[in-house]
Amino acid sequence: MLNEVLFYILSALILVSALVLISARRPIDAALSFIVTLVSIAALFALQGSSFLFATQIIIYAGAILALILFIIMFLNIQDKNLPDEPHKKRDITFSTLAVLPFTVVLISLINKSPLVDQALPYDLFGGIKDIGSVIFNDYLLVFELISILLLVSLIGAVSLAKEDKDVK
Amino acid sequence: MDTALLVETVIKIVVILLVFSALAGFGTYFERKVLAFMQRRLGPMNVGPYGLLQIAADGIKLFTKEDIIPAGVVPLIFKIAPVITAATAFMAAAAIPFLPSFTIFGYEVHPIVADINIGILYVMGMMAVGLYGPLLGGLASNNKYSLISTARAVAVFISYEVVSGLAILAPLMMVGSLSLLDINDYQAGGITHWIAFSQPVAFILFWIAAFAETGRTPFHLIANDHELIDGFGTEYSGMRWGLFFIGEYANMFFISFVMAIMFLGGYGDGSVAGAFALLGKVAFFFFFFLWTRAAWPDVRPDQLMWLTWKVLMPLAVINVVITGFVLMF
Repeated sequence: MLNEVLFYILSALILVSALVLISARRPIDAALSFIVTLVSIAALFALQGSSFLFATQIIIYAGAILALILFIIMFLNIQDKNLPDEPHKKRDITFSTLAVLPFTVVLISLINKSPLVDQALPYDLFGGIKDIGSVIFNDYLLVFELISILLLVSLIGAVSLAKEDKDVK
Repeated sequence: MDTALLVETVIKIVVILLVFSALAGFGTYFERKVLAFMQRRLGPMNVGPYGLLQIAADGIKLFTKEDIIPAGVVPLIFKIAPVITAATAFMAAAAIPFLPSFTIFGYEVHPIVADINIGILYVMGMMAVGLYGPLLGGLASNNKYSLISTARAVAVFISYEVVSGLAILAPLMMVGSLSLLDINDYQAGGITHWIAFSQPVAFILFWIAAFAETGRTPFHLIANDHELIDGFGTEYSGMRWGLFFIGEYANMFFISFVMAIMFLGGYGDGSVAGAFALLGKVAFFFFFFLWTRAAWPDVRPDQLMWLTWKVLMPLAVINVVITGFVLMF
Protein backbone atom coordinates (compact mmCIF):
# COMPACT_ATOMS: atom_id res chain seq x y z
CA MET A 1 0.00 0.00 0.00
CA LEU A 2 2.67 2.45 1.13
CA ASN A 3 4.87 1.26 -1.72
CA GLU A 4 2.13 1.93 -4.27
CA VAL A 5 1.49 5.44 -2.98
CA LEU A 6 5.22 6.18 -3.09
CA PHE A 7 5.42 4.74 -6.59
CA TYR A 8 2.73 7.06 -7.91
CA ILE A 9 4.21 10.10 -6.17
CA LEU A 10 7.63 9.34 -7.63
CA SER A 11 6.21 8.70 -11.09
CA ALA A 12 4.40 12.02 -11.00
CA LEU A 13 7.63 13.73 -9.92
CA ILE A 14 9.56 12.08 -12.75
CA LEU A 15 7.00 13.07 -15.39
CA VAL A 16 6.62 16.65 -14.20
CA SER A 17 10.36 17.27 -13.83
CA ALA A 18 11.05 15.67 -17.23
CA LEU A 19 8.44 17.99 -18.75
CA VAL A 20 10.10 20.98 -17.11
CA LEU A 21 13.44 19.72 -18.41
CA ILE A 22 12.37 19.99 -22.06
CA SER A 23 10.20 23.08 -21.71
CA ALA A 24 12.41 25.25 -19.49
CA ARG A 25 13.86 28.29 -21.20
CA ARG A 26 17.03 28.72 -19.19
CA PRO A 27 19.49 25.79 -19.30
CA ILE A 28 20.09 25.98 -15.56
CA ASP A 29 16.41 25.37 -14.81
CA ALA A 30 16.48 22.38 -17.14
CA ALA A 31 19.56 20.98 -15.40
CA LEU A 32 18.01 21.45 -11.95
CA SER A 33 14.78 19.71 -12.90
CA PHE A 34 16.85 16.91 -14.43
CA ILE A 35 18.38 16.34 -10.98
CA VAL A 36 14.85 15.82 -9.64
CA THR A 37 14.17 13.31 -12.43
CA LEU A 38 17.33 11.33 -11.77
CA VAL A 39 16.93 11.24 -8.00
CA SER A 40 13.29 10.17 -8.36
CA ILE A 41 14.35 7.34 -10.68
CA ALA A 42 16.94 6.33 -8.09
CA ALA A 43 14.18 6.30 -5.48
CA LEU A 44 12.13 4.02 -7.77
CA PHE A 45 15.07 1.61 -7.87
CA ALA A 46 15.28 1.73 -4.07
CA LEU A 47 11.54 1.04 -3.84
CA GLN A 48 12.08 -2.15 -5.83
CA GLY A 49 14.91 -3.30 -3.60
CA SER A 50 17.59 -2.70 -6.24
CA SER A 51 19.85 -1.04 -3.74
CA PHE A 52 23.02 -1.18 -5.83
CA LEU A 53 21.33 0.44 -8.83
CA PHE A 54 19.96 3.08 -6.47
CA ALA A 55 23.41 3.92 -5.12
CA THR A 56 25.13 4.01 -8.51
CA GLN A 57 22.34 6.15 -9.97
CA ILE A 58 22.79 8.64 -7.14
CA ILE A 59 26.60 8.64 -7.14
CA ILE A 60 27.18 8.70 -10.90
CA TYR A 61 24.29 10.72 -12.28
CA ALA A 62 23.27 13.00 -9.43
CA GLY A 63 26.67 13.17 -7.73
CA ALA A 64 29.01 13.55 -10.70
CA ILE A 65 27.47 14.03 -14.14
CA LEU A 66 24.82 16.60 -13.25
CA ALA A 67 27.28 18.46 -11.01
CA LEU A 68 29.64 18.75 -13.99
CA ILE A 69 26.82 19.89 -16.29
CA LEU A 70 25.88 22.60 -13.79
CA PHE A 71 29.56 23.50 -13.50
CA ILE A 72 29.82 23.97 -17.27
CA ILE A 73 26.59 26.01 -17.43
CA MET A 74 27.99 28.16 -14.64
CA PHE A 75 31.22 28.81 -16.54
CA LEU A 76 29.53 29.54 -19.85
CA ASN A 77 27.64 32.32 -18.04
CA ILE A 78 24.71 32.31 -20.45
CA GLN A 79 22.74 35.56 -20.46
CA ASP A 80 19.06 35.70 -21.32
CA LYS A 81 19.77 37.59 -24.52
CA ASN A 82 22.07 34.80 -25.75
CA LEU A 83 19.29 32.23 -25.66
CA PRO A 84 17.75 31.37 -29.01
CA ASP A 85 14.22 32.55 -29.78
CA GLU A 86 11.84 29.65 -29.74
CA PRO A 87 8.47 31.09 -30.71
CA HIS A 88 6.94 27.72 -31.61
CA LYS A 89 8.26 25.76 -28.66
CA LYS A 90 4.89 24.72 -27.23
CA ARG A 91 3.65 23.70 -30.66
CA ASP A 92 6.84 21.73 -31.33
CA ILE A 93 6.60 19.88 -28.03
CA THR A 94 2.95 19.04 -28.62
CA PHE A 95 3.56 17.67 -32.10
CA SER A 96 6.60 15.67 -31.11
CA THR A 97 4.61 14.19 -28.23
CA LEU A 98 1.88 13.18 -30.69
CA ALA A 99 4.52 11.73 -33.00
CA VAL A 100 5.90 9.31 -30.40
CA LEU A 101 2.43 8.38 -29.10
CA PRO A 102 2.02 5.27 -31.33
CA PHE A 103 5.40 4.01 -30.19
CA THR A 104 4.38 4.51 -26.56
CA VAL A 105 1.18 2.49 -27.15
CA VAL A 106 3.21 -0.35 -28.65
CA LEU A 107 5.66 -0.20 -25.75
CA ILE A 108 2.90 -0.32 -23.12
CA SER A 109 1.18 -3.28 -24.79
CA LEU A 110 4.55 -5.02 -25.07
CA ILE A 111 5.21 -4.54 -21.34
CA ASN A 112 1.72 -5.79 -20.52
CA LYS A 113 2.31 -8.95 -22.59
CA SER A 114 5.51 -9.70 -20.71
CA PRO A 115 5.27 -12.70 -18.36
CA LEU A 116 6.95 -10.65 -15.63
CA VAL A 117 4.18 -8.10 -15.39
CA ASP A 118 2.12 -9.81 -12.68
CA GLN A 119 5.10 -10.98 -10.70
CA ALA A 120 5.61 -9.57 -7.25
CA LEU A 121 8.72 -7.47 -6.76
CA PRO A 122 11.73 -9.75 -6.32
CA TYR A 123 12.63 -7.98 -3.13
CA ASP A 124 16.20 -8.60 -1.99
CA LEU A 125 16.63 -11.22 -4.68
CA PHE A 126 18.51 -9.02 -7.10
CA GLY A 127 20.20 -5.76 -6.43
CA GLY A 128 22.93 -6.80 -4.04
CA ILE A 129 26.46 -6.47 -5.39
CA LYS A 130 27.02 -10.26 -5.39
CA ASP A 131 24.14 -10.94 -7.80
CA ILE A 132 25.02 -8.09 -10.12
CA GLY A 133 28.70 -9.05 -10.09
CA SER A 134 28.07 -12.68 -10.91
CA VAL A 135 25.66 -11.79 -13.73
CA ILE A 136 28.05 -9.26 -15.24
CA PHE A 137 31.16 -11.41 -15.02
CA ASN A 138 29.53 -14.71 -16.02
CA ASP A 139 26.74 -13.99 -18.48
CA TYR A 140 27.72 -10.66 -19.99
CA LEU A 141 31.51 -10.66 -19.70
CA LEU A 142 32.17 -9.81 -23.35
CA VAL A 143 29.71 -6.90 -23.41
CA PHE A 144 31.09 -5.63 -20.13
CA GLU A 145 34.68 -5.68 -21.42
CA LEU A 146 33.65 -3.98 -24.66
CA ILE A 147 31.98 -1.19 -22.70
CA SER A 148 35.12 -0.87 -20.57
CA ILE A 149 37.22 -0.47 -23.72
CA LEU A 150 34.79 2.13 -25.04
CA LEU A 151 35.07 4.09 -21.79
CA LEU A 152 38.87 3.80 -21.88
CA VAL A 153 38.95 5.09 -25.46
CA SER A 154 36.81 8.09 -24.57
CA LEU A 155 38.98 8.74 -21.52
CA ILE A 156 42.17 8.76 -23.56
CA GLY A 157 40.44 10.88 -26.19
CA ALA A 158 39.41 13.44 -23.60
CA VAL A 159 42.94 13.63 -22.20
CA SER A 160 44.53 14.04 -25.63
CA LEU A 161 42.00 16.71 -26.62
CA ALA A 162 42.56 18.64 -23.41
CA LYS A 163 46.34 18.35 -23.67
CA GLU A 164 48.24 21.51 -24.32
CA ASP A 165 49.14 21.92 -27.96
CA LYS A 166 52.94 22.30 -28.06
CA ASP A 167 53.09 23.66 -31.64
CA VAL A 168 50.74 26.58 -31.05
CA LYS A 169 52.45 29.01 -28.76
CA MET B 1 4.56 -2.30 6.98
CA ASP B 2 4.99 -3.45 10.54
CA THR B 3 3.80 -0.66 12.84
CA ALA B 4 6.35 -1.43 15.55
CA LEU B 5 9.17 -1.20 13.00
CA LEU B 6 7.80 2.09 11.71
CA VAL B 7 7.60 3.58 15.21
CA GLU B 8 11.08 2.30 16.04
CA THR B 9 12.54 3.82 12.87
CA VAL B 10 10.88 7.18 13.47
CA ILE B 11 12.21 7.25 17.05
CA LYS B 12 15.72 6.43 15.84
CA ILE B 13 15.59 9.18 13.21
CA VAL B 14 14.42 11.76 15.75
CA VAL B 15 17.10 10.72 18.27
CA ILE B 16 19.87 10.91 15.64
CA LEU B 17 18.64 14.30 14.43
CA LEU B 18 18.50 15.75 17.95
CA VAL B 19 21.77 14.24 19.17
CA PHE B 20 23.81 15.30 16.16
CA SER B 21 22.28 18.77 15.88
CA ALA B 22 23.24 19.28 19.52
CA LEU B 23 26.67 17.76 18.90
CA ALA B 24 27.18 20.17 16.00
CA GLY B 25 26.59 23.00 18.45
CA PHE B 26 28.91 21.47 20.98
CA GLY B 27 31.43 20.86 18.21
CA THR B 28 31.73 24.59 17.56
CA TYR B 29 32.41 25.22 21.27
CA PHE B 30 34.94 22.41 21.36
CA GLU B 31 36.62 23.72 18.21
CA ARG B 32 36.94 27.25 19.59
CA LYS B 33 38.35 25.99 22.88
CA VAL B 34 40.84 23.61 21.26
CA LEU B 35 42.02 26.27 18.81
CA ALA B 36 42.29 28.79 21.65
CA PHE B 37 44.38 26.52 23.86
CA MET B 38 46.68 25.67 20.96
CA GLN B 39 47.16 29.41 20.33
CA ARG B 40 47.62 30.28 24.03
CA ARG B 41 44.25 31.99 24.36
CA LEU B 42 41.29 31.22 26.57
CA GLY B 43 38.57 31.05 23.93
CA PRO B 44 34.94 31.79 24.86
CA MET B 45 34.85 32.58 28.60
CA ASN B 46 32.13 35.17 29.25
CA VAL B 47 28.84 33.33 28.74
CA GLY B 48 28.33 30.83 31.54
CA PRO B 49 31.06 28.83 33.33
CA TYR B 50 34.06 28.43 30.99
CA GLY B 51 31.89 29.91 28.25
CA LEU B 52 29.77 26.76 28.10
CA LEU B 53 26.55 28.69 27.48
CA GLN B 54 28.13 30.22 24.39
CA ILE B 55 26.44 27.42 22.41
CA ALA B 56 23.01 28.51 23.67
CA ALA B 57 23.81 32.16 22.96
CA ASP B 58 24.92 31.32 19.41
CA GLY B 59 21.84 29.19 18.88
CA ILE B 60 19.47 31.95 20.04
CA LYS B 61 21.28 34.42 17.82
CA LEU B 62 21.06 32.18 14.75
CA PHE B 63 17.37 31.39 15.26
CA THR B 64 16.26 34.95 15.90
CA LYS B 65 18.26 36.75 13.23
CA GLU B 66 16.39 38.09 10.25
CA ASP B 67 16.33 35.74 7.28
CA ILE B 68 17.60 38.07 4.57
CA ILE B 69 17.02 37.17 0.92
CA PRO B 70 19.20 39.67 -0.98
CA ALA B 71 18.00 41.32 -4.18
CA GLY B 72 19.33 39.63 -7.31
CA VAL B 73 19.42 36.08 -5.97
CA VAL B 74 17.32 33.26 -7.39
CA PRO B 75 14.96 32.93 -4.41
CA LEU B 76 13.82 29.30 -4.64
CA ILE B 77 17.30 27.84 -5.22
CA PHE B 78 18.84 30.23 -2.70
CA LYS B 79 16.39 29.07 -0.02
CA ILE B 80 16.66 25.37 -0.74
CA ALA B 81 20.49 25.06 -0.89
CA PRO B 82 21.23 25.03 2.89
CA VAL B 83 18.43 22.52 3.40
CA ILE B 84 20.12 20.19 0.91
CA THR B 85 23.41 20.39 2.82
CA ALA B 86 21.85 19.57 6.19
CA ALA B 87 19.42 16.98 4.82
CA THR B 88 21.99 14.97 2.87
CA ALA B 89 24.37 15.02 5.83
CA PHE B 90 21.71 13.47 8.06
CA MET B 91 20.49 11.09 5.35
CA ALA B 92 24.00 9.67 5.19
CA ALA B 93 23.61 8.74 8.86
CA ALA B 94 20.87 6.22 8.03
CA ALA B 95 23.32 3.44 7.17
CA ILE B 96 25.84 4.07 9.98
CA PRO B 97 25.71 1.84 13.09
CA PHE B 98 26.37 4.31 15.91
CA LEU B 99 26.58 1.75 18.71
CA PRO B 100 26.45 -2.04 18.99
CA SER B 101 22.93 -3.38 19.44
CA PHE B 102 21.76 -3.36 23.05
CA THR B 103 18.71 -4.49 25.01
CA ILE B 104 16.44 -1.98 26.74
CA PHE B 105 13.30 -3.11 28.65
CA GLY B 106 13.63 -6.53 27.04
CA TYR B 107 13.55 -5.03 23.55
CA GLU B 108 16.59 -5.36 21.34
CA VAL B 109 17.62 -2.09 19.74
CA HIS B 110 19.89 -1.86 16.70
CA PRO B 111 21.27 1.70 16.65
CA ILE B 112 21.19 1.84 12.85
CA VAL B 113 18.23 3.28 10.95
CA ALA B 114 18.42 1.01 7.92
CA ASP B 115 20.84 -1.89 7.57
CA ILE B 116 20.98 -1.88 3.77
CA ASN B 117 23.40 -4.26 2.10
CA ILE B 118 25.24 -1.42 0.35
CA GLY B 119 25.73 0.69 3.49
CA ILE B 120 29.06 2.33 2.75
CA LEU B 121 28.10 3.03 -0.88
CA TYR B 122 24.94 4.72 0.34
CA VAL B 123 26.89 6.90 2.77
CA MET B 124 29.32 7.91 0.01
CA GLY B 125 26.43 8.61 -2.34
CA MET B 126 24.65 10.88 0.11
CA MET B 127 27.88 12.76 0.80
CA ALA B 128 28.29 13.12 -2.98
CA VAL B 129 24.81 14.65 -3.27
CA GLY B 130 25.72 16.99 -0.41
CA LEU B 131 27.78 18.81 -3.04
CA TYR B 132 24.58 20.42 -4.29
CA GLY B 133 24.34 22.57 -1.16
CA PRO B 134 27.45 24.66 -1.87
CA LEU B 135 26.90 24.36 -5.62
CA LEU B 136 23.34 25.70 -5.71
CA GLY B 137 23.90 28.15 -2.86
CA GLY B 138 26.86 29.72 -4.63
CA LEU B 139 25.17 29.73 -8.03
CA ALA B 140 22.03 31.41 -6.76
CA SER B 141 23.82 33.98 -4.60
CA ASN B 142 24.72 36.48 -7.33
CA ASN B 143 28.06 37.15 -5.67
CA LYS B 144 31.47 36.66 -7.25
CA TYR B 145 33.04 35.26 -4.08
CA SER B 146 30.25 32.72 -3.80
CA LEU B 147 30.77 31.76 -7.43
CA ILE B 148 34.53 31.22 -7.02
CA SER B 149 33.82 29.17 -3.91
CA THR B 150 31.29 27.07 -5.84
CA ALA B 151 33.79 26.41 -8.61
CA ARG B 152 36.32 25.25 -6.05
CA ALA B 153 33.77 23.16 -4.17
CA VAL B 154 32.74 21.23 -7.27
CA ALA B 155 36.35 20.63 -8.31
CA VAL B 156 37.41 19.50 -4.82
CA PHE B 157 34.41 17.30 -4.08
CA ILE B 158 34.41 15.48 -7.40
CA SER B 159 38.17 14.92 -7.32
CA TYR B 160 38.29 13.67 -3.76
CA GLU B 161 35.27 11.42 -4.24
CA VAL B 162 37.44 9.54 -6.72
CA VAL B 163 40.19 9.17 -4.11
CA SER B 164 37.91 8.11 -1.25
CA GLY B 165 35.99 5.70 -3.50
CA LEU B 166 39.15 4.01 -4.77
CA ALA B 167 40.67 4.01 -1.28
CA ILE B 168 37.81 2.07 0.31
CA LEU B 169 37.66 -0.33 -2.62
CA ALA B 170 40.71 -2.27 -1.38
CA PRO B 171 39.37 -2.93 2.16
CA LEU B 172 35.96 -3.77 0.69
CA MET B 173 37.59 -6.40 -1.51
CA MET B 174 38.98 -8.02 1.64
CA VAL B 175 35.69 -7.88 3.55
CA GLY B 176 33.49 -8.87 0.63
CA SER B 177 30.54 -6.79 1.79
CA LEU B 178 29.47 -3.16 1.63
CA SER B 179 27.48 -3.24 4.87
CA LEU B 180 29.15 -1.33 7.70
CA LEU B 181 27.94 -4.04 10.13
CA ASP B 182 29.80 -6.74 8.18
CA ILE B 183 32.89 -4.52 7.95
CA ASN B 184 32.78 -4.10 11.72
CA ASP B 185 32.32 -7.83 12.35
CA TYR B 186 35.22 -8.61 10.01
CA GLN B 187 37.53 -6.79 12.45
CA ALA B 188 36.12 -8.33 15.62
CA GLY B 189 38.91 -10.05 17.52
CA GLY B 190 41.13 -7.35 18.80
CA ILE B 191 43.42 -4.59 17.70
CA THR B 192 45.49 -6.79 15.37
CA HIS B 193 42.48 -7.40 13.13
CA TRP B 194 41.94 -3.72 12.36
CA ILE B 195 41.86 -2.94 8.67
CA ALA B 196 44.08 0.09 9.33
CA PHE B 197 47.02 -2.32 9.78
CA SER B 198 46.35 -4.50 6.74
CA GLN B 199 45.42 -1.51 4.54
CA PRO B 200 47.49 1.43 5.83
CA VAL B 201 47.61 3.15 2.43
CA ALA B 202 43.83 3.03 2.05
CA PHE B 203 43.41 4.33 5.59
CA ILE B 204 45.67 7.35 5.05
CA LEU B 205 44.15 8.12 1.64
CA PHE B 206 40.60 7.97 2.97
CA TRP B 207 41.60 10.14 5.92
CA ILE B 208 43.06 12.78 3.60
CA ALA B 209 39.95 12.63 1.40
CA ALA B 210 37.77 13.05 4.49
CA PHE B 211 39.39 16.45 5.10
CA ALA B 212 38.53 17.50 1.55
CA GLU B 213 34.98 16.17 1.64
CA THR B 214 34.15 17.99 4.84
CA GLY B 215 35.95 21.11 3.60
CA ARG B 216 38.30 21.34 6.57
CA THR B 217 41.76 22.88 6.77
CA PRO B 218 44.19 22.22 4.98
CA PHE B 219 41.60 21.88 2.20
CA HIS B 220 39.42 24.73 3.41
CA LEU B 221 39.52 26.49 0.04
CA ILE B 222 35.77 26.37 -0.38
CA ALA B 223 35.16 29.12 2.14
CA ASN B 224 38.63 30.46 2.77
CA ASP B 225 37.94 33.37 5.07
CA HIS B 226 40.73 35.73 4.04
CA GLU B 227 40.12 35.55 0.29
CA LEU B 228 36.50 34.45 -0.21
CA ILE B 229 34.75 35.89 2.89
CA ASP B 230 32.53 32.89 3.70
CA GLY B 231 32.47 31.43 0.20
CA PHE B 232 29.08 30.07 -0.79
CA GLY B 233 27.67 31.17 2.57
CA THR B 234 28.54 34.85 2.11
CA GLU B 235 25.02 36.02 1.27
CA TYR B 236 23.30 33.85 3.88
CA SER B 237 22.13 34.95 7.28
CA GLY B 238 20.40 33.50 10.31
CA MET B 239 19.31 29.90 10.36
CA ARG B 240 19.88 29.30 6.66
CA TRP B 241 23.58 29.91 7.25
CA GLY B 242 23.20 27.81 10.41
CA LEU B 243 21.97 24.87 8.32
CA PHE B 244 25.20 24.97 6.27
CA PHE B 245 27.04 24.93 9.58
CA ILE B 246 25.08 22.02 11.05
CA GLY B 247 25.56 20.11 7.80
CA GLU B 248 29.33 20.64 7.90
CA TYR B 249 29.71 19.55 11.52
CA ALA B 250 27.31 16.61 11.17
CA ASN B 251 29.35 15.51 8.15
CA MET B 252 32.53 15.67 10.25
CA PHE B 253 30.96 13.44 12.89
CA PHE B 254 29.55 10.97 10.38
CA ILE B 255 32.75 10.63 8.41
CA SER B 256 34.58 10.11 11.73
CA PHE B 257 32.15 7.27 12.47
CA VAL B 258 32.73 5.78 9.02
CA MET B 259 36.53 5.93 9.47
CA ALA B 260 36.37 4.44 12.97
CA ILE B 261 34.14 1.57 11.80
CA MET B 262 35.93 0.91 8.52
CA PHE B 263 39.54 1.11 9.60
CA LEU B 264 39.85 1.12 13.39
CA GLY B 265 37.68 -1.84 14.28
CA GLY B 266 34.46 0.03 15.10
CA TYR B 267 32.77 -1.29 18.24
CA GLY B 268 34.59 -4.60 18.07
CA ASP B 269 32.69 -7.51 19.58
CA GLY B 270 29.78 -5.32 20.67
CA SER B 271 30.45 -5.16 24.41
CA VAL B 272 30.00 -1.99 26.48
CA ALA B 273 33.75 -1.41 26.34
CA GLY B 274 33.57 -1.72 22.55
CA ALA B 275 30.84 0.91 22.40
CA PHE B 276 32.93 3.34 24.44
CA ALA B 277 35.97 2.49 22.31
CA LEU B 278 34.00 3.47 19.18
CA LEU B 279 32.98 6.80 20.73
CA GLY B 280 36.60 7.35 21.78
CA LYS B 281 37.84 6.73 18.25
CA VAL B 282 35.25 9.12 16.84
CA ALA B 283 36.30 11.74 19.39
CA PHE B 284 39.91 11.23 18.35
CA PHE B 285 39.11 11.74 14.65
CA PHE B 286 37.06 14.83 15.47
CA PHE B 287 39.87 16.21 17.61
CA PHE B 288 42.29 15.50 14.77
CA PHE B 289 40.20 17.70 12.44
CA LEU B 290 40.59 20.59 14.91
CA TRP B 291 44.25 19.84 15.62
CA THR B 292 45.08 19.98 11.91
CA ARG B 293 43.27 23.30 11.63
CA ALA B 294 45.48 24.76 14.33
CA ALA B 295 48.69 23.23 13.00
CA TRP B 296 48.54 23.50 9.22
CA PRO B 297 48.11 26.33 6.72
CA ASP B 298 45.79 25.90 3.76
CA VAL B 299 47.16 24.58 0.48
CA ARG B 300 46.68 26.42 -2.81
CA PRO B 301 43.92 25.25 -5.16
CA ASP B 302 46.39 24.09 -7.81
CA GLN B 303 48.37 22.17 -5.18
CA LEU B 304 45.13 20.54 -4.08
CA MET B 305 44.33 19.36 -7.62
CA TRP B 306 47.92 18.24 -8.18
CA LEU B 307 47.79 16.23 -4.97
CA THR B 308 44.56 14.44 -5.92
CA TRP B 309 45.19 13.49 -9.49
CA LYS B 310 48.95 13.01 -9.57
CA VAL B 311 49.66 11.54 -6.12
CA LEU B 312 46.63 10.21 -4.27
CA MET B 313 44.67 8.66 -7.13
CA PRO B 314 47.61 6.67 -8.60
CA LEU B 315 48.45 5.47 -5.08
CA ALA B 316 44.85 4.34 -4.57
CA VAL B 317 44.80 2.48 -7.89
CA ILE B 318 48.13 0.76 -7.14
CA ASN B 319 46.79 -0.21 -3.73
CA VAL B 320 43.69 -1.79 -5.31
CA VAL B 321 45.80 -3.74 -7.82
CA ILE B 322 48.19 -5.04 -5.12
CA THR B 323 45.25 -6.02 -2.89
CA GLY B 324 43.73 -7.88 -5.83
CA PHE B 325 46.93 -9.84 -6.43
CA VAL B 326 47.33 -10.69 -2.74
CA LEU B 327 43.73 -11.87 -2.49
CA MET B 328 44.08 -14.00 -5.61
CA PHE B 329 47.34 -15.80 -4.87
